[in-house]
Amino acid sequence: MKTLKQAYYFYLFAMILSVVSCRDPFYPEETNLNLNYLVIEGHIDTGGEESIIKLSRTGSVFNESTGSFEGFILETGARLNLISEQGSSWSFSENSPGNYSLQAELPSNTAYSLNIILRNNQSYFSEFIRPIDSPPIGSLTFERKEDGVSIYVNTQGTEDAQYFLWQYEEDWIYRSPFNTFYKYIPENNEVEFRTLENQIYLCWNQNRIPSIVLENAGRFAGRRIERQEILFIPEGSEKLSQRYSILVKQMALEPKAFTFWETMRKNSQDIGGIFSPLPSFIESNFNSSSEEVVSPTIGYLSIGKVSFDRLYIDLQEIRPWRPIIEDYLGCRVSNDTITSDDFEIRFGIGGSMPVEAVYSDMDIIGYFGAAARCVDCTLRGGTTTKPEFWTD
Amino acid sequence: MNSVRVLIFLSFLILCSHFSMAQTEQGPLISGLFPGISFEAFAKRIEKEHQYQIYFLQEDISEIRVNISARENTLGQVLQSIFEGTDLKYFIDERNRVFISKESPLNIGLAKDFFDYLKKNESQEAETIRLSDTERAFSRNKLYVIGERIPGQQKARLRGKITGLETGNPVFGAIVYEKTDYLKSISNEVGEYDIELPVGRHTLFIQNLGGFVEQRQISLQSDGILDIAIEENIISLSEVVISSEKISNIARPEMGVQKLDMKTMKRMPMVLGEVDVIRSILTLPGVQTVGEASVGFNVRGGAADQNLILYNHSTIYNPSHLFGLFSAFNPDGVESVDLYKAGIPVKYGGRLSSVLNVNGSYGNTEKIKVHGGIGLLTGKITVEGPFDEKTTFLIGGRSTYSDWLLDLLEENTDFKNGRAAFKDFNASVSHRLNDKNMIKLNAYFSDDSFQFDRDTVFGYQNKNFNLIWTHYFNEKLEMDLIGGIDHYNFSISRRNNINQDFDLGFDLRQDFFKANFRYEIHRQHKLDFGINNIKYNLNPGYISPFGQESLISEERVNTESALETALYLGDEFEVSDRFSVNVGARYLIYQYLGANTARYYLPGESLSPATLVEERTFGRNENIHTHHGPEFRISGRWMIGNLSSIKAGYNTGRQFIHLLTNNAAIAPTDIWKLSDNNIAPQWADQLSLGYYQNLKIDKYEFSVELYHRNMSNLLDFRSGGTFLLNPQIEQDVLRTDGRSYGAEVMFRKNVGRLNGWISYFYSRSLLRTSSLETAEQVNGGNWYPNNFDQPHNAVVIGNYSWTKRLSTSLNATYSTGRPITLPVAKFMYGGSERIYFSDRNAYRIPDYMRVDMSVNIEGNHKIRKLAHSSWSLGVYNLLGRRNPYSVYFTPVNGVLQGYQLSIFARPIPFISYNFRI
Repeated sequence: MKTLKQAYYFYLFAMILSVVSCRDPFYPEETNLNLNYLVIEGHIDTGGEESIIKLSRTGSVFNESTGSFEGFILETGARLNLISEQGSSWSFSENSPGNYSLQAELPSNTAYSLNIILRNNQSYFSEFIRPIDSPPIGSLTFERKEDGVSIYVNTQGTEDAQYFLWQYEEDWIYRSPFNTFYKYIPENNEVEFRTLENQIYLCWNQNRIPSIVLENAGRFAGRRIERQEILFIPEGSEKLSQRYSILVKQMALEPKAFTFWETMRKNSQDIGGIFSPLPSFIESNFNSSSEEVVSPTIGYLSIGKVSFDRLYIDLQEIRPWRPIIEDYLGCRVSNDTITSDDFEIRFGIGGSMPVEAVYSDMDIIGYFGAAARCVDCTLRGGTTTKPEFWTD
Repeated sequence: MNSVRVLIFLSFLILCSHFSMAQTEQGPLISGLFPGISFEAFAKRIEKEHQYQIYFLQEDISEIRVNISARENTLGQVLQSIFEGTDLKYFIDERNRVFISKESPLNIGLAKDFFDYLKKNESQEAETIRLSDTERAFSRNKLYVIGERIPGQQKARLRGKITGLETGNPVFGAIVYEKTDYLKSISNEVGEYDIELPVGRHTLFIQNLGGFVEQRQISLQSDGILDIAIEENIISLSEVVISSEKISNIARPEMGVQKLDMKTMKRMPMVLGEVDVIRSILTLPGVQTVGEASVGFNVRGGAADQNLILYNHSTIYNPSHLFGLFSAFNPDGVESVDLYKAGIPVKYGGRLSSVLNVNGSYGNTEKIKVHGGIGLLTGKITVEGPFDEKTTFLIGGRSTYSDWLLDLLEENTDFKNGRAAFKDFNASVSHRLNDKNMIKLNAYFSDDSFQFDRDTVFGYQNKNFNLIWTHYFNEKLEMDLIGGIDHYNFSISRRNNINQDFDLGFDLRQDFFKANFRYEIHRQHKLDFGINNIKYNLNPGYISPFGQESLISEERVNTESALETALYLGDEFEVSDRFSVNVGARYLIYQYLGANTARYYLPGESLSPATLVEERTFGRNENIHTHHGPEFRISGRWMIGNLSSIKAGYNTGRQFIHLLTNNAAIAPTDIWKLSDNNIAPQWADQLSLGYYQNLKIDKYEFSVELYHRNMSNLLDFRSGGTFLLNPQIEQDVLRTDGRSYGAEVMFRKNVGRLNGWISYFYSRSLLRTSSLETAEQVNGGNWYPNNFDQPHNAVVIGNYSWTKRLSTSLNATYSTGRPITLPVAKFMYGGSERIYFSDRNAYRIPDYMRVDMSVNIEGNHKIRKLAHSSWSLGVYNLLGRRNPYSVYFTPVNGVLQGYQLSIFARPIPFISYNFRI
């Protein structure tokens, strides 16, 4: 409701005042400092799935954004231990820089604290947190709209689990414009048949940026959350050009953790508009036991069983769907025959790929080629390996 | 004799300073014996024997006996010896004319200009003015003999009524004083004054606040009555443009009172040329705002909800149109505005920092008049006048007449169906039943609505109505009974989206009853006492689906009601001529009433679902919780000499209704909340000290005021807190202490072609989360600046009258930029880059500076002309300085970029036309 209100205000105001108002760049000098606060992010799944804790440092506000975790200073070489109230302990392993992983079934009738010892021996520990198990996801649905496809989650909150956080992973199939059964081998300057395993026509791509969606079931009659939009895929997106899959993870939070996420979301949105809320202080449930650490820690750990559900959407369910992909503009198969004399120039250096064989009687005398970007789907970030979970 | 009067009048007009010596002169020498003859006889003899013409007033010299022996003395020497020990002065011009006047000698040097002036201006208009000036001169210098001499009587009481010369309306707040002992009286609401003076000759000065100093010569023999008509709207040679308190400023026992009259406000350059009450008071020292587009104003470091805004006794909860670009008062219905920053009269209460009293007019008593005007956005019309001898009325309306501003936008933006409109309506009727009873009625209505697309309409309304019965029991005791309803609501409705359609809103209604008494027990003691009752009914918010298909779930926060009762008693005690005190107290009883569900929490714990112990349901009008306590109002004045004074004051206040906002500015969707069993009333005290001095016969006035204020139980929002549609608001607020202090210096020139004021004030306003608060400590529990903490402020208001009809006004404002919370770091979380903010309000936006200019052209002032018209044109933000209103950050190509948003970023010209029939 709040955002609705603010959005209205902002637009309305902008409308009225844009006649006379104006926007100028503003460069605060004082804020170009590097605070280097520790950032701890993660949810610990007691249900036995892998839990990841990410450790990084804050950066300067005016650093160029990379939009990725790796763009920040990562806290590597730390030791992480999860300790239960009963005294049991589980340790994490660093599976990539700044990413610490734990996979364990954890009893849910006790409280846990995460202890972190950094490489510089500064130590941090979370409050003891009681796990909140998420109820199973009711269903995932989608709706074809005029301008795209919305994906919804439906779920039933309980007395314990009322505040929900959803994250998702997307995977989808896409194709290159031209299939090919041929492959140029530069070593011997020949074109060979391409095996099915080596096909480059069909790819899987994925999105693992954990966007977040929040909702409070207490707002709804019977704590029933219906048609909570997880994601909107705009018209023409390549994601839905063949078959698409989304894995939704549902976590139940305690109220303070929920407030933390809400605050962070608000702080990142519409700040500084005419009627924007003032930025709020971000709380953390981490403390430091090292005396020399006086700076705040950012992050709010939550623990509990995570519910998963997966939804597939096929092209035929949402037709018509016409993706427009810039990389494929101007793709065509050249109609000049490339003979073996030209293989090296055209396929080796020229960036073309053989697409179609040209026969004379029963012999291949050459090939029609096309630009590699129009043939090889892996050039656009995907992989030809079918993900393990994928079902057709 | 007539010419003598005119000349003597001139002496009063022109005198700017006291002359202790008359001009030395050469002329015929006088010899002879004048043995105890009357001055009249002496004058006759001098005129006969020499070429002198002597002008004097009979009354002035009636008691003079000439008893001298002259031997070749100049007339000057002779007169000096005759007038020794009296206040008579003489002046001899080069044509051997002798002018005898009281107190000051005639200064002919300037009078010469005046003759030239009179000669040159032979037009009809000039005739009119001269005539009226002459008439005024007559009453100013005529000696009124009052009563019959009673032997042995030392003192006598003079009473009477002060009315407006033009309107015939009683003048409230005019000061009647004389300058020898500085005895004074202030006229009450029906224009009556009462002054006790020593028997004998006096010059009485009558000073209307914001008006002209009128005077009367009286010879007071015994108790009597003198009614006085004075100018309210002044078009004259010595017009006073800027309202002033002058003598009252130094002599009034209260402090921290500012008054602006409509005339001053009309001359100020304003956005889009709309005369604006609230924007005008922003030019006064101690008054601030967070920005150009905010509804509220801040007085002495108090929040915007701590101002009680009264429009003829009606509380206006949202005094603005269009997000605060305009204030909600039609200027044609307003007479004047009083702002009480410290010495809030004991009859007012309920808000901590100030009372803004907007005095609406009840209409002209003489004839029906029509005022109107057209500005760039609005048109307005007001009709006022008498129904009959006993009844007067004023009805006014104002409305936007065009969406041109938005139409203009349509051409280059996506806001196709945007609309914004507002209107307001005010009506006041006054009826005199008989000499002892009077009834007044006030109604006010304002409506704002706007939409930025076809589907969503936003609106808010004020509705106010009240009835006042004034009764005079006798000359000493009077009573006002006031009853009324104040209503405020806002709503958002969404349509045409089938399953998203809803109605959302908030409303607040208060029914009030006030009984105010004023009892003058004794000349030294004036008592104010009475009882005020307010019944609040507040609907904190609802959202309901619209239409069958809507998926929006109905939500309704329980309505709240409360009864606030205040009993008060105040005494205006004149201890001596020099020393007076105002002592007052209010006792407040506030009952939070059902029907409602009260929530009880673990004592000493932060209020959260976890610490909720019990919920108890109460029936209708059942008392849930009572808050009660006293408030004090104490102020004193000590006169130092005749022209300066020192004042000190201490007052406390309690406030039971709170505006909840998590914006820097007040947004129209901010909601009010009543104190309940979890939210304690706000409390504040203020200590203030002031020094006041008037210079050059009140031409200049100078004041310095210092203050310090403590506040507690203020409400700040918790991180992530929301207020709209929140049924447990107490879980989203932080109890906060406040502290503000500052100094206000003002230098004002009230008369002359160039008038205006310069003020500087230093003002700090700080907050600190209460140490009792366990939920969260903003900035680690340290003091942090309030959103409107702008320490240095300076205002220059200047007005120069080129002619009687053409004047120019210049208005310059400077203030330190307001505090802001800036992003200081970014980090990755939840898959996105997030911003980490500095401590609350740790930085400031750039300083604010603006210069505005306007030219006011009055039509001519023939009294019997059909319509008077005036034009006002000017430029707002003349320098085009881009004063930032807010600063925000948004990523541009992946890099966070800061922007400052300026609202009136370039010079905004305006023009408006007003007429009066």
